[in-house]
Amino acid sequence: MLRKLLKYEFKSVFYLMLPLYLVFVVVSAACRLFMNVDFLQDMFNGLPFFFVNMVYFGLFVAMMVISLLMVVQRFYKGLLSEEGYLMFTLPVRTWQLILSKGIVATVTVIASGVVTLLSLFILTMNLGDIWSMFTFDQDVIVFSRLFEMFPTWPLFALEFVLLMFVYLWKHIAHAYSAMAFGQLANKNRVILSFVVYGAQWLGISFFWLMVVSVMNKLHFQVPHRLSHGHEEFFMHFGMWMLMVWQGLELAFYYLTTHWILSRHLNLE
Amino acid sequence: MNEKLLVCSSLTKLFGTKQALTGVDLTLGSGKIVGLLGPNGSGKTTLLKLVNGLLQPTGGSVMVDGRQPGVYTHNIVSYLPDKMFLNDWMKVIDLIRFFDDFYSDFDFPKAMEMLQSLGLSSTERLKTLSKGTKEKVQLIVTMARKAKLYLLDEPIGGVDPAARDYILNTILTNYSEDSTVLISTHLIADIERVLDEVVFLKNGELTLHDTVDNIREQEGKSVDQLFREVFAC
Repeated sequence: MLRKLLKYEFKSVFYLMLPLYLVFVVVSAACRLFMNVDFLQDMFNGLPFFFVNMVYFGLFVAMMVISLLMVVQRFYKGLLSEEGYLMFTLPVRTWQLILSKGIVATVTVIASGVVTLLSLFILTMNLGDIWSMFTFDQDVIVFSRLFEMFPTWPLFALEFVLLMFVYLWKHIAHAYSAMAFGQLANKNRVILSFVVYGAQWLGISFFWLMVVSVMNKLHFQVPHRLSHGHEEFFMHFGMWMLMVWQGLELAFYYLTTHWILSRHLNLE
Repeated sequence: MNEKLLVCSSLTKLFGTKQALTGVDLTLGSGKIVGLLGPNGSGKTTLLKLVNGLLQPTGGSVMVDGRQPGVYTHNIVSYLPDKMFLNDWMKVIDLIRFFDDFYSDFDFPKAMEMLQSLGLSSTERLKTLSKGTKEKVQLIVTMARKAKLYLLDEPIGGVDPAARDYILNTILTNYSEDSTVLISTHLIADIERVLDEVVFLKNGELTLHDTVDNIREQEGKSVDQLFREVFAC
């Protein structure tokens, strides 16, 4: 059932996002064309050049805003508004509904980030630079140096990607949790959601501040003799600790959302 | 035959301090068409939402086929809410595939046949349809299931009289002896001819649960007439 939910959720989101991504990439290419060709830049006192740049900037902002709105809207409209009458009467479990929304929202934000990078790449890279990236000899030199300096860098890169995924998902789950609390009210649900969002952020920040100060009081630190010569290990260890930290917050938001939607659903 | 397909025991729902349902005791068996009747704000929609698990009871309990609302009951209950639950990006055919995907009791050919008989195109986008047509599409996907319990919240409220006849015929011809249809409405005159039993709700309280034949025999009047007397302003 989770697979089916994911299929429909991806369709709902990318029905709007894919054309936007495509237009953004095309406009980036048009911008690049105007930047490279003097004749086009000077045409009609540079008006078309200015126009294309404005469209690019507008699309850039629109994509960021729509991506964020999509995250909120797909949860609020899809579960807590009229569409909820359909979704909460499907023969699926509440955790599957929340998980499918969370996964698709995280992927949407990442996809928007990737498309933005691609557009910047189109705007700034030279053909020569691109060619050199695919030159095998050059790659071998770069990678062999990397392996010499930092043998486990691929693992580090993987950990970084995982950490970013968990970090993004946590922020999305935070918004979900606030909206789930908001629907408990019979009036002013949006205001309550914002209040809960702020209160949760303050509460969790305070909690971690307490944890850090207790650890400081206990002089909790790795002795130099232990860390010396094992710097790489401790870097990985640090990454996993960050992931656990973000994962705990994610679990908190996910569980509160699940608890409310399965025990206190209040579809008005 | 299941004599206890739906059982509500002392079912109570509060919205803040407002009492939406008060100690409702109701048992429905299978193989019946039941009218859930009452004026606006009497608690009909709240009762249906509680049966579907869209609201949680403040007190008492609700059981469908011996289970609390959940995955099992969603598999055997087909619910038509009084809201538009449609996802606007979909075409009619997408919605039918969606139901076919999630409900094992969904009859795809029957849904297509119903679409055709109502003259609806499966390739139309839901957002371009009128309110009445959307209601028909929702009714089609609800009735194309072979469910044990159909919960229809105001299915004829927003459609023209000709479509009402079609909808009532659809309900009559699409439910089996093993299933029960619970229809909430206040348009009693239109629906009376198809009902086996009626349930009256007044200010969140169940005031009557009887068969239509008994009401006619004992009261000597139609359900519509009785309703007008009981709920006279």
